[in-house]
Amino acid sequence: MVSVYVKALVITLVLFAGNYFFVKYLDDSRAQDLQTRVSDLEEEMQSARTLLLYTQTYNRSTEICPALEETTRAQINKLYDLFSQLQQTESSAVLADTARTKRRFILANSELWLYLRQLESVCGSSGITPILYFYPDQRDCVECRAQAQILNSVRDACSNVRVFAFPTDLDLGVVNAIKSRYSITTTPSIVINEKTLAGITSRDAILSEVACIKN
Amino acid sequence: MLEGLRNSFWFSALLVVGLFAAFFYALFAVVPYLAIFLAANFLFVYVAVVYLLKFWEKGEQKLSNKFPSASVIIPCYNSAKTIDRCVESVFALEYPRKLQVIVVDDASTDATKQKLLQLKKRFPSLEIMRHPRNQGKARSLNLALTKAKGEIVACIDSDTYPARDALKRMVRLFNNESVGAVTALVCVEEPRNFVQKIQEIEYYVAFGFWHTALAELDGLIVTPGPMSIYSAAALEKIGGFDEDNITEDMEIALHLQSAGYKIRLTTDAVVRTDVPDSWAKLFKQRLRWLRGKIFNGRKYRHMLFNSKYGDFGRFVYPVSFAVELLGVVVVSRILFLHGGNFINDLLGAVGVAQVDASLVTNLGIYSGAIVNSSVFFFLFTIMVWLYIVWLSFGIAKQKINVWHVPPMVVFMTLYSMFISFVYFSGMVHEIVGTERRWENKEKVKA
Repeated sequence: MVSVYVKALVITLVLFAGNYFFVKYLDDSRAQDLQTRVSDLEEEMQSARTLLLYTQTYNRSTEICPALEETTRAQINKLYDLFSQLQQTESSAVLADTARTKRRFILANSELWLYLRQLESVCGSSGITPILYFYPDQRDCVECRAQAQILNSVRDACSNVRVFAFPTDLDLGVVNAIKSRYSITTTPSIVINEKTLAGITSRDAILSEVACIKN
Repeated sequence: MLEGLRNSFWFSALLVVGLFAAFFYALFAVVPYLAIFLAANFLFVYVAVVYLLKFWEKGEQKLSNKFPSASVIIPCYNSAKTIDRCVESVFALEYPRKLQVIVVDDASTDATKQKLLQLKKRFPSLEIMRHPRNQGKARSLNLALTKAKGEIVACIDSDTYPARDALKRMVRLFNNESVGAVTALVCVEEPRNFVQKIQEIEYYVAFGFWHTALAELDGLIVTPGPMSIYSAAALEKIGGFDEDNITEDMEIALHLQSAGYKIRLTTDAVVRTDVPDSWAKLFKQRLRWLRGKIFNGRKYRHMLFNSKYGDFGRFVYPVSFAVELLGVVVVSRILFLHGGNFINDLLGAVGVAQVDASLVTNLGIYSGAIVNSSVFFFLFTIMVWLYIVWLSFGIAKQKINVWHVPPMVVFMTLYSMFISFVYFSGMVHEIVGTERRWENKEKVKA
């Protein structure tokens, strides 16, 4: 006769196996959804880049620039939403690896910011005031979370302000180049209008740097 | 001076918190939290399933038709408020034979002595013994044992009130000479405040479900102090109660197990007892229990993992320590995770530049932790727990009503953390070597 201990072990293993597969399915679904959204955004960005190239090639800026500004603004918003989803998935999915998706996201983020610079040179202005926000990805940073909250409130208050977040410790070539360009040595740091502000920056200080167009 | 420092509350508290933080900081730096959660959760579920299987296997117990002579011993200390009711309930016990009732006053400083004299007038057969100076519960019990004439000895706390049929039902489990003790379903007497309502549920679960399963495995670790009955021959053979023990009810159970005696349980016999009415008193009581368990764990370490003692040595006794230790680890991890976040945000809000104070109340910060998929691994644990609580109410023949829900939620969540913190404090106290003693004020003032 099978002892009670063996029976209990089998029951517990079955319960845990069922649980494992359920959690795995849940996490994979989350990660898959995130990947799909990043892919969609990459596709949209490619489309926008091609349109910008067309504008440059045939000098059709007055005709196309307003539409480009509009799509860029929408893409930045999507990217920002994606950032929240990425952070949430990263912290909540225990059986899914989001590292690759994260790198793709950061590259898309960098690309979008560079595209914005190009858009400004082609169209004169993008109508967007970008704030670059540098934070550590691999460690907790109280001030950075506080800074993120402040940036959120500024972004919500000003329709022209958009935030681009860059993790400083993931050793990505393009991020390292941006860090080096703006002499980022500490976190949190923000860059507004080519000016680097190291350490936590208050809401009032940020508002004084951006020409806020209220929502 | 060093001894005084070691026994001071603040020194102990500081040491506990410091060691608590250092130990777990080191542990969590090395072991990933998921590994800790899953390992602990696996063990909790496994142990619960073992006990559930044994609980379901429970059959009818063989009952004896004999009613041997019985002595009731009531040790008391400063029990003026409860001794009347306790003695009255003892004399109201339905038992086919005349009971010998002995009260031992352990040098009370309140009106217990006068109360006992009044009780003597009402119950002339009541035997009163007195210690000239306070010597502790175990010595009081042993003093009474020298006068006890019964084949069965019932030990009852002075703030405990057995049901009229409790003794009669318990005695019938002495169906052979190998039974050394019989325990009952201990319930909380009239829970008035929230702390007591939580303990009401805890007692149903502990003395109802767990003890039933443990008794099936011949693995009872304690013969509850409020009321347990013993074979006088068994007590004589093992030499009575250990007088240097702060949990003599646990020590005697381990001693009986060690000597090869069985301990039986009947949940049909109900015993009601007063319980601590504040968190501070509860903390002191549980600290004593846990320290007693560690102390007795050392004393009876030869029984750990020893198949000579059957399921008790192989499984029940070692697992009782493992579960408590892992409970401490898991609770600490949760506290470190969420408590750390909270403190960080609080410091950020009050100490770092011009940060919006709403940071502290912004639940969004915790949204990631709340939906963490690892919580699904705990679904089964929660379901098993709920089922056990439901079973326990059934054992106690109680219905769950809406007023049980708040204490039940706290019992299943924060209370476990409280108990785990007590466990950790107990471990530290044992390591540091602060004096073990009975806290006479830990019981409720009825």
